[in-house]
Order: sequence, then structure tokens, then C-alpha cells
Amino acid sequence: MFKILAPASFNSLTGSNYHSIAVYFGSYYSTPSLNQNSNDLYYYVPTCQLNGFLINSCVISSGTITMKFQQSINNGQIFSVRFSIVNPTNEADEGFILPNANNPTVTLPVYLNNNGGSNYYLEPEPFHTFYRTIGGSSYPSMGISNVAIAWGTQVQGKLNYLEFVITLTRNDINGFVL
Amino acid sequence: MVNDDGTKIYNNPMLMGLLSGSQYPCSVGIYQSVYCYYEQGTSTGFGTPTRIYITDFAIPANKSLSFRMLFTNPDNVDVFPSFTFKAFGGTFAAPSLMGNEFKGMYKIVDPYKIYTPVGYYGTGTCFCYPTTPLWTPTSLYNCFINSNNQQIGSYAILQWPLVDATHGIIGDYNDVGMHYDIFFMSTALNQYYVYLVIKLSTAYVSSTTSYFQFGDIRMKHHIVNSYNLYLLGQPWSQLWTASVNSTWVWNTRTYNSYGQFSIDAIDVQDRYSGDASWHYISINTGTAYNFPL
Repeated sequence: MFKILAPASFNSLTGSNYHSIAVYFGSYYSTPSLNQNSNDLYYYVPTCQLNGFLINSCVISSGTITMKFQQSINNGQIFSVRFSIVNPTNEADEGFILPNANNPTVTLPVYLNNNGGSNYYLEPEPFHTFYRTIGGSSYPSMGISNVAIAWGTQVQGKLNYLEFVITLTRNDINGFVL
Repeated sequence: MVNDDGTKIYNNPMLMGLLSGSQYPCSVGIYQSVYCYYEQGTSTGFGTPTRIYITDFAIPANKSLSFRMLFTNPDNVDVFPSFTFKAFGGTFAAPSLMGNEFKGMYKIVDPYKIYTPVGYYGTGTCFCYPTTPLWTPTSLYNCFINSNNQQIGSYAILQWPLVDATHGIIGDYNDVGMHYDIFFMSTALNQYYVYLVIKLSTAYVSSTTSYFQFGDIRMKHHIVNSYNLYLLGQPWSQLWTASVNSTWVWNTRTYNSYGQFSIDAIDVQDRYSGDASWHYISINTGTAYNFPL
């Protein structure tokens, strides 16, 4: 998931005309066998979101995930993009596969095509490659079962004291990022 | 900094006035090991969140961890902060200092709303009286507030100065189990404080004789005589500028005293060198009227 400052105005389109945003992940990530089905239920389906809305045209091919959309975006507008692979049979089983956990950071290029306009190539800053494993008696990604919160005050900009009670399901946690 | 729903909750997401990368005041219990530092979020609409990294703690046998921290509320009103906990494990090595295996996530969405200070925030002045003479190790300070009642489970926090840029070490703190939590924080170069947190086990009923008690704390000569006492009333808060009633101190230490004050030795040293001069006086009193140091 990332955010982009629109470098130009993306017009509203109809018919067979589309803008596109693509991320090339190459060999840094792999995918499970895509679009498998169990009767009428498909799983390991690529999913693309633009500003939180699911986009119908979302395809993975040759190490690239591409979203084609017709919505308008204003020049200079900040918009969010989220790419993933979902498995409706197991919500803990979401995302790409990281074949090599020894790559602590990677940089993935982003391509923008403005239909009727220019192409843009973005190289964001490197990000950490976090991963999780699934299966076994309990899902590791469910390591926090509950967090309760208490607070001291609700006044704007003032000193506060927060208390969290973090309930865990496992002992092999080194740290939290809040 | 924007929330997940696109609402801007911080114009200036600088928590506790600390620079990004600073150690952050957090706790899992008094003197229990934990280390936190924070990364300041952006003030733009890109929504990069403020991140607090929590490491070097022990997970209790019951797998229930009580994590506390000081916090600066959002600086926009009518917004809701959200808190997302991500747990990491596995082998840790730079730059993944807590491992890069994702072990869990929990999100607290919109736990409380931010109110305007109007009608919910107030300031005042109060007196805090030491129960023993200055710089006595067992000093308690009673801070009298005759203004408002406070409910069970709410907090009172005293920001007690330990180091001052002008005078060096001026205050002292010794944990004797009186407080629910403590934090040590440096707010600037040579400005070092301890934050003493009381969680009310009974409701506070204001009167001329009711007070919040903090200890053991002591201060040399009350050089800093206007320190901060925060009352967090859920949802309101108040900032009291606390000081020692100088008249009371003067009367207490001059009246009812008797006997001969003896001096064993006085050392005086001076250095004359323009504005770099200094003067040193050390008084070693006789044992009969020494206060414990």
C-alpha cells in the first residue's frame, strides 16, 4: 500500500479507455497459484484498491501487478493504492509470498499511465520486507488477541496518559510497532 | 497526519515535544525493562503515521502485557486517534531490530474523541508542602487542590524537576511504591524530569484539607518553584502550577526551633577570573542538629 501525489490531471474515462498503475515486483515476491476455485469460490485472487475502492481490472502478469481504472484524479491530489492477493477462505492468508526473508528492504518501481497524457516512472524509497507464515496449530499472524485501552484526558493537544493491556497468544514476540 | 479515514488529526505530530528518533516515555511497570523510541509522522496528507517502537520487554507468564505511555493528544478537535499494534519476531539484525516476521496485528479504531479546550481545560496555581525539611531523603509532597472532584481510575501526574540548565542537579526521586507509574524524560539539554503518576483508587473529593501526595521526592532550596501538576479527569484536564508556599516554609523552619546550632567546619574557596569566577562554601554542621542527608 502506498500513496502518490498525482503528477498530472487524470481525466474521467469511459468505454475501453483506462489509466493504469503498475508495480513491478519481479523476483522479490512470488505468488501462489492464482485464481484457483473451489466450486464457485475463487481464491488467491489479485486485488487492487484505489482510495479504498476495489478496482475491477486487476491483473498479475510477468512479475507485475497492474490496475486499470477510469476514475478521475486531480493534479496534485494525494491518492492511495493498495495491491494484494486475497484468499476468502482464510483472511490470515493474504498478500504476496516473500521467497527470501534475508532481503530486509526492497525498492519496487511504480509505473503510471495517464490515458491521453504521459507515462510516469516512480521509484519510491526502500521499505522493509515483513513477512508472516501460515498454517500449523495456530496462525502466527494472530499473535495479539486483544488490546484494551484506557486514557486520561480527551482535550486537544494536551498531555495524556495511555494504558494498554495487550493480550498475546505467543511468547516469541520481540517487539511492537505502535 | 491523517487517520485511516482521511481525517487530519495532527497538524504537528511531535509527541511530548520530542524530536523524531528520541527515546519515548513508556513503561510496562515501574523499573521493568522496556525501551521505546518514536518516529515522527508527517504533517501532510500523505498520512505517514507516527510510529512508536517498543522493544526490550519481557512477556509475562500470563501473556498479558500492561503497556503505558505518556502521550500528546491530537492537535485538531472532533477527531479520533487510532492505535495499531503490530507484533514482530524472528531473528533480529539491522535494519530489522526486532526481526521481520510479522506475528500479529491489532487495531483500536477511534477509542476516544478529541474535545476543544473550551470548557474542558483549565489552569491554576496550588501549593505543595514538604512533610520533612528540604533535601531530606524521605520527603513527601502534599499538593492541595480545592477545586474539583476527580473520579476513581483517573490520573494525577507531577512533573518533578531533577536537573536544571542553570543549577545542575536540583531534585531527587526515590521509588517507595507510592506511584502507579514513573517516567524519566529529558525535554531539552540539561532539562530532566521525572513524571510521577498516581491512579486514583478512591475518588478525590476537593476540600481545603484534601491533597495529592507524591514521594519520595526532594529539592534543593526550591530553586525551581513552579513545576507542573497535571490532573487528567476523563475527559477534562487541568494544569496546575505548583509551588511551595514560601511563607509556610519560612515559618516552619524558624518557629519551634531551639538549641545551639553548631558548626564543625566551614570551607570557603574563591576563584577570581572575570565572569568565570566562582565561589564555593561548604558548611559541616555539628551532629546534634544535622538533618539526615
